[in-house]
Amino acid sequence: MTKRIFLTMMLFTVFKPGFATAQTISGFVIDKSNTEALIGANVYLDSLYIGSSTNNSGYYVIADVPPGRHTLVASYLGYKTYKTTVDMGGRPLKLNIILEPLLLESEAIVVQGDSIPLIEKMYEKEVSQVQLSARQINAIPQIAEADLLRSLQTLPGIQPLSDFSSALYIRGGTPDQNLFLLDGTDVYNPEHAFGLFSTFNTDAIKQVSLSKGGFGAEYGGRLSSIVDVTNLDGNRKQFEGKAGISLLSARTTLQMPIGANGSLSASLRRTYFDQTVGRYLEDIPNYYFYDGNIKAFFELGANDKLTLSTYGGRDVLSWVFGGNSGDDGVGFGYNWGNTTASAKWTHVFTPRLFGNFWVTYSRFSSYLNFDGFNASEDNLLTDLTFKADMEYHYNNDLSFRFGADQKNFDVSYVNLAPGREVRASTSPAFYSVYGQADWQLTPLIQVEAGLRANMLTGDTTMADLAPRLTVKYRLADRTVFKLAAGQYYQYLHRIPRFLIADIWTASGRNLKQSSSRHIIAGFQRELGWDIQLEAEAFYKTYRDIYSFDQNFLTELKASYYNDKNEPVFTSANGLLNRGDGWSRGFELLLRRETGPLTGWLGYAYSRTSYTQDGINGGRPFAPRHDRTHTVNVVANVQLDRLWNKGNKAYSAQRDSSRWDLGINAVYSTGQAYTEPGSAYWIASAPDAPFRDVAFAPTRINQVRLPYYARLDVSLTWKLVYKNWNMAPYLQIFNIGNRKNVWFATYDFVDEVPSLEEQYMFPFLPTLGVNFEF
Amino acid sequence: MKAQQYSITALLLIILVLATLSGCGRGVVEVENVSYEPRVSIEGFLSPGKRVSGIRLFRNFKLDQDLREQTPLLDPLKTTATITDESNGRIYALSYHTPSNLLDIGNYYYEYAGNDLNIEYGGSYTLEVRTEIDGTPIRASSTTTVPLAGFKIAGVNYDSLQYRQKINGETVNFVLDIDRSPGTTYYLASILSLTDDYDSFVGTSPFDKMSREEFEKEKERFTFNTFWIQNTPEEAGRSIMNLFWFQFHFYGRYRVIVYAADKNYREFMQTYSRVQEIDGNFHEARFNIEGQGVGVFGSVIADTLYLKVTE
Repeated sequence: MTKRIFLTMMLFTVFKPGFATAQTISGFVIDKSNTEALIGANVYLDSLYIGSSTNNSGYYVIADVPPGRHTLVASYLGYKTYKTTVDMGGRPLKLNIILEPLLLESEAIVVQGDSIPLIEKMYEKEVSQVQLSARQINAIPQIAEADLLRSLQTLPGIQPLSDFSSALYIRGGTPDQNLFLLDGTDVYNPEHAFGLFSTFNTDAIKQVSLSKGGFGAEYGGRLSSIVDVTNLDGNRKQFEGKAGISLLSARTTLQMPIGANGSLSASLRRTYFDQTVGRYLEDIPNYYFYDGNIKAFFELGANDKLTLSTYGGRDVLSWVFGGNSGDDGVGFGYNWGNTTASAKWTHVFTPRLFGNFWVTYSRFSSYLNFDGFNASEDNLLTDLTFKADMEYHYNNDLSFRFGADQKNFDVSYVNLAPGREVRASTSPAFYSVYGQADWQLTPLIQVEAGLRANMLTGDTTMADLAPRLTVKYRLADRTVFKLAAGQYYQYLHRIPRFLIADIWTASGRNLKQSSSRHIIAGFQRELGWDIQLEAEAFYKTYRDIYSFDQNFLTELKASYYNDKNEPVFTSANGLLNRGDGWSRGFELLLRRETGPLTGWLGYAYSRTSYTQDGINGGRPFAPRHDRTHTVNVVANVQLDRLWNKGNKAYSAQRDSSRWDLGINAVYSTGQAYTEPGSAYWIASAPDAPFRDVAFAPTRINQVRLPYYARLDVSLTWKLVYKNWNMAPYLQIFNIGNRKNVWFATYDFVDEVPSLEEQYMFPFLPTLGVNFEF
Repeated sequence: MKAQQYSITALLLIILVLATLSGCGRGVVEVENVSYEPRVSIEGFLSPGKRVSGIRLFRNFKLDQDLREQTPLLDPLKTTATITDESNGRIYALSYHTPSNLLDIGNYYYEYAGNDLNIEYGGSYTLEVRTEIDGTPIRASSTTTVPLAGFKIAGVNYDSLQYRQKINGETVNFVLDIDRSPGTTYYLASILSLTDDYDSFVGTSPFDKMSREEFEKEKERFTFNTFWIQNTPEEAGRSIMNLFWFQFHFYGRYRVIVYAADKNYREFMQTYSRVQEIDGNFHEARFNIEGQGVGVFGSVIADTLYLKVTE
């Protein structure tokens, strides 16, 4: 049946008649319950087989609609399919579509003859793109509570470095190569709790779009990936709230209307370990973090929308050990966090020309001071950006995206300690323009060709052209083949540090821009009506990428000297090692998004090789994050629905399942690891009274740690009341209590060799409860 | 419908069982010694105006080697060590010094017994070692350039301070004035306690609260430690060197030797004990030794002073 529909559709598309008075249908698709714009909803004319999907603002355009009466259909996963008859009288039609959420996402409703087939949604999706909703993120069992970045780590091609880090290593790239966007604003160092959690509050998230590579010309500035987070606009109909408490934190998200045409969404989260357990334990750091979002949405007219969004978060640590105060003990304080703000104006110039205009501001800062050491550190990065993204729909087969952005960075790092000072600052400006044509060349082939031009001006000027190309080809009625290639540039570089926040610096005279080329081939197939199979192979090259020089002390050069003749360092020279490399891999994803069992099965094969100046004698080596094979299983099982499948009486009585089981299992090859080549006796000074055993590593990451495996489960009991519901949950991280090796320490105790493994997180149960009202 | 339910349930159970089986147990790291290669460990320093002596040459060993069962000493019959004066190309053969106490491993060293080798300020000297380890011929060489004259400790703010003494609310440290050697930008202080017993141990230190038994096990790391300043100006002049309160662990007298160090010693000290990164992985140190050697062959100018820490 599907095959027949598609053949008919293709014939219509190929031989569609030209209409002299053809016009457009355009508008927004919104959620009836809260008027949130729906991203990626499909809208099409049933009889003509022409259609479109909504963009990130929920806007759609169907061009070249001939006069007459047509049936317009709109569908979106989890919503009732919308159907209406439109009468085109030779004038453009503006039609905002309101979709009603399904109370029960039953198969009977989802599977309908007029719904868009799954393969069409897969075809629309960009290469290497994964979209996750807040619901899907929240369903994955994690440490203490749901976390966006840890959820992304369960996807094939995305690796964590350890249990202690939420950082993403995507297809061989390092975390600094990922661009994080929160409502259009770049976010730097999106980490809470020393990287254990990310800064994104999952309750406030509307949608997350992740591109693992091959992304289009509208994105730039990073080599590996884009993580684009869109927060909730707010409920324009009624007050709505969510709240939750876990062993880690308390949080709430509230949404409400502002007048007739506006809405407000606000979230707040704070950890309270310091106020509970911390009050009764001695010699532990006083630590907490908080964050909050506020987002306001205003419909200024039929063609104008304004969104104001801000985020603020801070981690605060203070610790005095060995005494009661800094006088008899040693104390230090450390706080860090992000602040972002954005204003977005959305304007529909004509039904075919749509634009978003942003002013965004992002600030990351950290401050560290040691009592009794006269040492402190002040780390600041700000980014003020102006950008515009436009879409022009020439016809249903050809559309253009184009835009520009201008970024103004201020990066400063001041580190004061007896004996030396670091006072580094840079304020480069970054300019880029891009254009991309999306052309449905034939019914079977779509080409997306784009070009991005970048220019950085700082202590020197550098400019680059970054071409991008994607080809989508319908191999069969349920199979799509995609090919993408692109050149990517990055002008910001990170000086990574363990536990404390990374420092950023920009390309300039002494630091070239990094570049990468991606080639990706993808194969997508619909298996049954609701199971997606995606296979992708990729090859990436890296040029002029930088890693922290662990022997940086030998490379430092003073810029000048202060009045005490102490060196003052003003640049990142000597801190980074330049290198090149490549990654290649293959990923398989089997995913189901509807029904009582949802989730995915992922497999990734990956090899990465770096060559870095001064490391490993110039020989290539696998970086620490390289893992050859990884298998992920993520499942969310609505137990009641599974066992009452087909029971109509059950469906009528319940609007949601009561028991949810979450499973997150991962198996991966051990990480590349450097085994010290040998040990030797040495004294540290000519007058040293004794000798130590020291280690002499000679080959970098030449062995593998034992395999990594972990199973996490969660059980949620959803209790539904008239106007609210609550969901107590139990999450168990590493239920098998497997001792996964983080690293090993070598020693000779009384001249006897010893090796001790340092393990990552053990069995960690967590309790919590979520409320919705 | 029921069949589908059962198949889903069975699939889940299989996943759970497999994941549980693989997600149990513990990872064990085995010593593989995959990159072990025999190397000579060099520990030698030249000082201007002093005899060439105390050049220790040991062998390295595998990570799982029981050191009680293998001597670090090289076979002197298969080992030759020479110093070349790069200013004139003359080669001086070093002789092997055997201690009277044969168990005193640290006192086996190489030296030059003659009087015709003078270590000069600014001179360059190459140590070349040929030996055999595990039946493998080993060759290693390293060249050091002695710092220029001019370095000395010019003074210190206090000869004696109370432990963590405060003056006007501010903690006071020993501050050494040093006159720099031109071209030398790295100065290292070694701090040796001359009263390193438990009764003199600073019990109020935030770092060091421990029993006598624990102290005895850890004693070495309190008795002797080092501290350096780096990237000082290249030209002659005066710099200061702070010795902080947390570098002193005993009440009593200390011997402080400050070394003006050459590039080899500087890079060795800056890297050799930091090869394990904070997240556990390892990286290479900088030895400035060509061939199959590890360690340091450097040169220093030394100056000494004595300090006292009181209760």
